[in-house]
Amino acid sequence: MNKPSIRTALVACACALALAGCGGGRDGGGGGGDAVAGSDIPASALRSVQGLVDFMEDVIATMTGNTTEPLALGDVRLPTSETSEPL
Amino acid sequence: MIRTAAFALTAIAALCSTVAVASSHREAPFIAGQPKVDGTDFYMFRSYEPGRQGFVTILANYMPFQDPQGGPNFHMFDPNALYEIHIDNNGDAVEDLTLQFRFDNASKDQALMVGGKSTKIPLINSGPINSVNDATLNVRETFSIDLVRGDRRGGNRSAVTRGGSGARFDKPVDNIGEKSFPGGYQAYANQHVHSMTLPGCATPARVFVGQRKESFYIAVGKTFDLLNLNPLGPETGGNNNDLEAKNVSTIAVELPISCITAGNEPVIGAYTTASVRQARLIDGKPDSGLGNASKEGGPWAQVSRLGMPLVNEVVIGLADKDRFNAGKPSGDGALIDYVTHPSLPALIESLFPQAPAPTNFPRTDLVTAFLKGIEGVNQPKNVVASEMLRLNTSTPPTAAGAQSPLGVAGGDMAGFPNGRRPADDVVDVSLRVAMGALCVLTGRNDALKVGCKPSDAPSGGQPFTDGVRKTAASYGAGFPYLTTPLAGNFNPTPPAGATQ
Repeated sequence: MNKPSIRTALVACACALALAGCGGGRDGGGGGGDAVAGSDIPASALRSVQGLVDFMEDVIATMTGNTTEPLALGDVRLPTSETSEPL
Repeated sequence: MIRTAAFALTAIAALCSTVAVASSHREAPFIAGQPKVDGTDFYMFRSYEPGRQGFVTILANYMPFQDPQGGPNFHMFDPNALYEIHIDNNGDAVEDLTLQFRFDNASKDQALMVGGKSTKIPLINSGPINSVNDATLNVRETFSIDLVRGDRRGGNRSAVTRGGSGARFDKPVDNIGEKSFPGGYQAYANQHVHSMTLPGCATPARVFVGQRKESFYIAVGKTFDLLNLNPLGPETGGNNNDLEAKNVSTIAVELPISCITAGNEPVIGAYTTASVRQARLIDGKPDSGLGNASKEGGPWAQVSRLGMPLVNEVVIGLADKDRFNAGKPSGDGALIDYVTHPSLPALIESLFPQAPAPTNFPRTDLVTAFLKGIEGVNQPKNVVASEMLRLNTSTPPTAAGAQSPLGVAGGDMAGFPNGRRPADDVVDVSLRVAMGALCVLTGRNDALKVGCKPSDAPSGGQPFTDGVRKTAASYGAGFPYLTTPLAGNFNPTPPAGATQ
């Protein structure tokens, strides 16, 4: 997974959201960053627990603020693991 | 005077040494904000219910400081958490058996026809409750149990079944009140003591998960107020039990000794943990229904750990309490300084100059008891130093009427710190050992091999107490031993002088 691509995509999405006022389905960008339909969650975040944690770290790094709206979650199911140690 | 033989085992309690507060209630910064996964007390003892001596009972309590008036949601276990009981049966500080509990809270979406419209009700029950999964319950709480052999994550996991049929167990709803339970809450809850079949074990075990009356007892308020009590006052009736009007939620299992011990080693170590998913996303626009406010994902991340009572409460420094809760016994060496150079005996001395703290550093008495158990009592043959509650399963249980709340310190070899029973006064025992009781007991020749002597502990012979004491008569005589919770319609008289 390409973390810089996702970070760029998230920033792009946030900007688009501010302009368009859309409630969901933000464009997650390329490189595996396309958002799952009906949500703001990129597909890369749903393929593995590592992908999920990387996405979460990007959210924390780029979307922590006083004006950003919550990400739309839609019907996504976050990946889980019964065997991995915390990442 | 505390007997020599008794003190041999109080050394283990030294791990809990220092000021004793609620065993592990809201004891760390992070877990204080996560009550559903906050382990409060952990008990382990040979069953003393008549006819059940071949079993070990383990009680893992969660969700502290429950007021009985818990409506409308009451205290359900977290369906996004993993609750575990770990057993080390060869002393190597690594779990050999783990029971995993996973919960599901299914809404029944009960509704009433109101003016032609179906309107969902706001309550957890729509009428009196008499039976398991009663039709009047608006939420069905169930759980599954898995047994993992080996490493908790990488080991061999298989399902525990319910009396040979099915793999889901019902949990009783909390004690809402007398109107909701016309047949009595106890009769209703007793229907949820389930027989369970452990994979690879020919003897059935038992399980109960549900609300109970809080079992821990302590003058917690005065204790935290710079020990604002007489530590050498009456052991019984000196102070009130601040947890007397509280409930707690328990995961109770009764396991055949033959199925949890290994080879010729009768000593087992155990502890409970709770984990949550490492990632959580809050849904800013949740759908209707239960469990839609957030989405969880990622690996399990441990956030609560409890073996011996009072460790994280009063031994581990504030800055490391979250770290302890995330840790495993095999990594306890990183926090060894808290045991070898404990701060609370020094604090006690500063508050009570007439009670000087022990002077032997490092506190090898605490290290021996805390990390290994006492040789010949509850120390595994090949023990690797690590913190957990240890029980010698070859020690016969003591009948309820003959138990000493001081456990081994009171001449009762089946009591704390050889395991822990509900009535064992871990607060008083811990206070005494913290102040060097073991150094006194071992004598000048260090008969107990704890590395100190009486002159190291000027206050070691004092009967320190928080003034609160119970006996086995305050608890049940059989599984699950903890008693019926206070009813949710509990409506006590306000304190004198309170403005209404």
